[in-house]
Amino acid sequence: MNGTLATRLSRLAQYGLLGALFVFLATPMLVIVVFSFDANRFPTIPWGGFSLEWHRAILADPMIRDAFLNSVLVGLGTAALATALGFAAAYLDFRHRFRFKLPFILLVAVPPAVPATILGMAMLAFLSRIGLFGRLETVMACHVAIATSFAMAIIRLRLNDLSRDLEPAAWNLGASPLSALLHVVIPFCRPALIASFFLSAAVSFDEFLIAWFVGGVHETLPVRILNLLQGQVNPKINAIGTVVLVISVALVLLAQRFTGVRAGRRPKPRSGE
Amino acid sequence: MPTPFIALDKLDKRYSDHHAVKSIDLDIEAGEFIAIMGPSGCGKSTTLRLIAGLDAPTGGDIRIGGDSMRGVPAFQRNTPMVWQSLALFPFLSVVENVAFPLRMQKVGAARRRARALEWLDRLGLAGMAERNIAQLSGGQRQRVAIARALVTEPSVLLLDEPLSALDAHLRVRMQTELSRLHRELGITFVYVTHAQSEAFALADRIVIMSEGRIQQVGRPQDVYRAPANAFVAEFMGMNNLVRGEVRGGSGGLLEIGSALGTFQVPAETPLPAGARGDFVIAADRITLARGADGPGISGTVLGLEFVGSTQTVFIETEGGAEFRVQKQQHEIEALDLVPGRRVTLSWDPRHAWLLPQAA
Amino acid sequence: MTAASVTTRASARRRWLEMPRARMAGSPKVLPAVLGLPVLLWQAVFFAAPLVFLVIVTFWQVKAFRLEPAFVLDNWSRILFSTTFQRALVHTIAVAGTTTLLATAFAFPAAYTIAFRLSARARDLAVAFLVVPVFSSYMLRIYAWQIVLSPEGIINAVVGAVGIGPLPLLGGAVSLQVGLLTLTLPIAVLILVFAMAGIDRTLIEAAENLGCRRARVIAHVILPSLRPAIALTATTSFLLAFGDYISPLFMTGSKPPTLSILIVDTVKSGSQWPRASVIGVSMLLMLALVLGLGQWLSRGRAARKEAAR
Repeated sequence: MNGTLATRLSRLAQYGLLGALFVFLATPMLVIVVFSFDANRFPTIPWGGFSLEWHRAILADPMIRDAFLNSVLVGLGTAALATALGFAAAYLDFRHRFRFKLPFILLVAVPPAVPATILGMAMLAFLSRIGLFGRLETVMACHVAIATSFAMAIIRLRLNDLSRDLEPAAWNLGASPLSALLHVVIPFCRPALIASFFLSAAVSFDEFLIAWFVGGVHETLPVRILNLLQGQVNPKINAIGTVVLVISVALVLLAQRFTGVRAGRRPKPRSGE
Repeated sequence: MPTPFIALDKLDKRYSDHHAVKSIDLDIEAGEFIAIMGPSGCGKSTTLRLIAGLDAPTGGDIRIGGDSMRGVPAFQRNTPMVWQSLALFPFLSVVENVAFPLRMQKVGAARRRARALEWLDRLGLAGMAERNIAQLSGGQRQRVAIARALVTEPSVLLLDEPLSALDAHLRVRMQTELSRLHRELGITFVYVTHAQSEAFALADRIVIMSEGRIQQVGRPQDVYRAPANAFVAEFMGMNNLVRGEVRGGSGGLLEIGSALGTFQVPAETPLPAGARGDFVIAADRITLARGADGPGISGTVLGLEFVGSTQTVFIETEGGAEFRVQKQQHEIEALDLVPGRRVTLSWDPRHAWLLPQAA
Repeated sequence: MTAASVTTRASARRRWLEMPRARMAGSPKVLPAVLGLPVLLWQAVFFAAPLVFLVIVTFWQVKAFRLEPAFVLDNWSRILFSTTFQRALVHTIAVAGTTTLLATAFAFPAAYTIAFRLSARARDLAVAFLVVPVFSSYMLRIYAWQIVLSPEGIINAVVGAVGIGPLPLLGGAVSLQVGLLTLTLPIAVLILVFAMAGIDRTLIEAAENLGCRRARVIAHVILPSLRPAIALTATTSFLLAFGDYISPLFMTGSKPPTLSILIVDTVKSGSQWPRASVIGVSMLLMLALVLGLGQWLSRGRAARKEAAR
């Protein structure tokens, strides 16, 4: 059956489609990076020659510098808080049984599923009434509400591999529940904690609608880009885009490096195979 | 009488779906090696977890050194346990694992390392200190788990089926090791196992549990010689039971009449004539002879089955009862035991026992 | 028993009695509460409360550009009966529905190839490559498509060189789908890859040993066991496309508007918070409906019959 024309064509079509998918996903990223080094004002071909002009220009732009700094602050704060809250939620789910557990878990898990437009509007409406509108801390707080979902998922997955006896063993050896948490559960979860830190940072670094709604005058970098995009064609966008792209890709890759999530560990090879 | 070191007083544990430990009483002396045995689900591991404070009892109390453990959390009991799963910390090195309890006691880094190394040395793990747990063999891990439990020099060590993951050869070596440690340290060992051989080799006293209740407590040889009831007899491998009735007694022996004939058993407690009971004899205490005309019960071999290095011979007696007899391979060959062969079963009356019939 | 062992046994008891034993401070419920409360509070204030408030605001009034508490159904009736909203709703459902079909249709064969044809190493690499776009720079990638598709863009520059064009690539239904697929495809493929990797291979081998052709294996073994994953892929794609703001904004210039565009416009123009909230709540209800439908579909015909009995 192998080697018939039909099979070969089918294989070719399969790999062809997969290749097309990857080209489709890679194209926009490549376009951003390539044209950020283009000397032309308008990004099109032919390429106008290599230039660092736009990269230099963004360094000189105080609004972009501020936005970048804001993004870093919000991203770091979100990463730390979302990881802490995500750990707490994942650990409670792992170790304890309590009433209203499902609603509690859903409260943490659901936010990313709500369209950011609606969530951003709702957050703005509510938070401005309690006097939290237009602050960088508010942007961070809202990002935490979303990123905790991802943090919980990553850490919960890791906790699945924690032997049920390990924590009781620590109590048995003189560790209080808090000490066991600090000296056994957290060290065990460390790769997942690092992964969730980077991923939460990436989520925050990439989020623009909520930041745009609740941030007021405090623009994060994606909000700055959004505002630039709605104005005139601006060659700086590609340069900022490259910076943002490199940072968020790096964050996601770092996160992946520590999760060790694989698509299907294959069933153990049987002997003789 | 001195107060026991560990006292279980009407200890009870009920889970939502089953009653694991049913109001048990047990006194354990200081320095004793006690083994709790029973089939899986009998409540032996739960009892151990209750002593360690890993589960809260739903009734009764535990006293250690005279003090009630009610409300004392696991981490303040100093009742270290060697787990069936070993429960070593995979992210810590060997020496860090052993030093963990000292770290929890806030012992300084240098001192806890020194003491951990001392214990590693004592368990023959010198030179392994910096290794990862994953790099160790099963036997070495076992020793790390024991060293970690003993490093705080507790007065009691709990062991939950600690040797069940090891192969037969290692198991025997670790038994010797545990025996030595118990002798040297003089502390109380509470050892949970389902393996009779381990309990017999190690324990001063054994506790037989079934369905959450203690069936019998005693020295291993006493329990083996004089099982308290049919469950203990069967658990001890005395699976040849014949219903009978006391006829009378003479010279320290009781005469039992049954459908298979008249047997004699040692009379520890005199029973009145007419009392009913189950006559038991262990499968490995029966002598077989070829032919059907010797003294004893005659029967026919039904079949054979390997059990480890020995074989179980299934025999149907004249009276229609089924007996099991445990024999070495060479004995079976010598007797040329094949299905259909006629044999005679006999035994020393001192090895037999009468279980009083439950009312 | 020797004299020596008697003394060690006695000292064992002494050691026990001398051990310092402080009773535990606080009850064992303290730790879970300390861990749980911050999470609960945070999600309540920054997630649940805003959504609840959104529902409340739909009944409020705007007077002299100020939002005032009230209980009126006016906002609901105005929005639900306005043709703008109705058109936008139909348009958004049509667009999101199309994206759902396209994403699932493209994702399935791609995921199949990744899960069953690639080596373990190549598969891990493919998964890594798919995870990256899920979490990075969606807005920038849409902007990049603008560069590629615009009248002065890359494609038109290429086809212009051979005398064709300029083609109106940007601003239509096709470019909108390009944008929405950029958003949905990586996630759709990932969900299916993980689901396929979880299928017991012995099942497939058994079917092949019984003489099933590959196409029949897919139809009779793989597809049925993937039903929940396909439903999840479809609902996720729909959810993302339905709520997206960026692709409609940049790929079609907001014409015709989707519901997300409508929300932002309504908020921007004259503080019509209650009306924007009505649109938002309607969208959430719509999504809940779709999620429910997805659940129902994923349970399968047999299970549904079982439940109906």
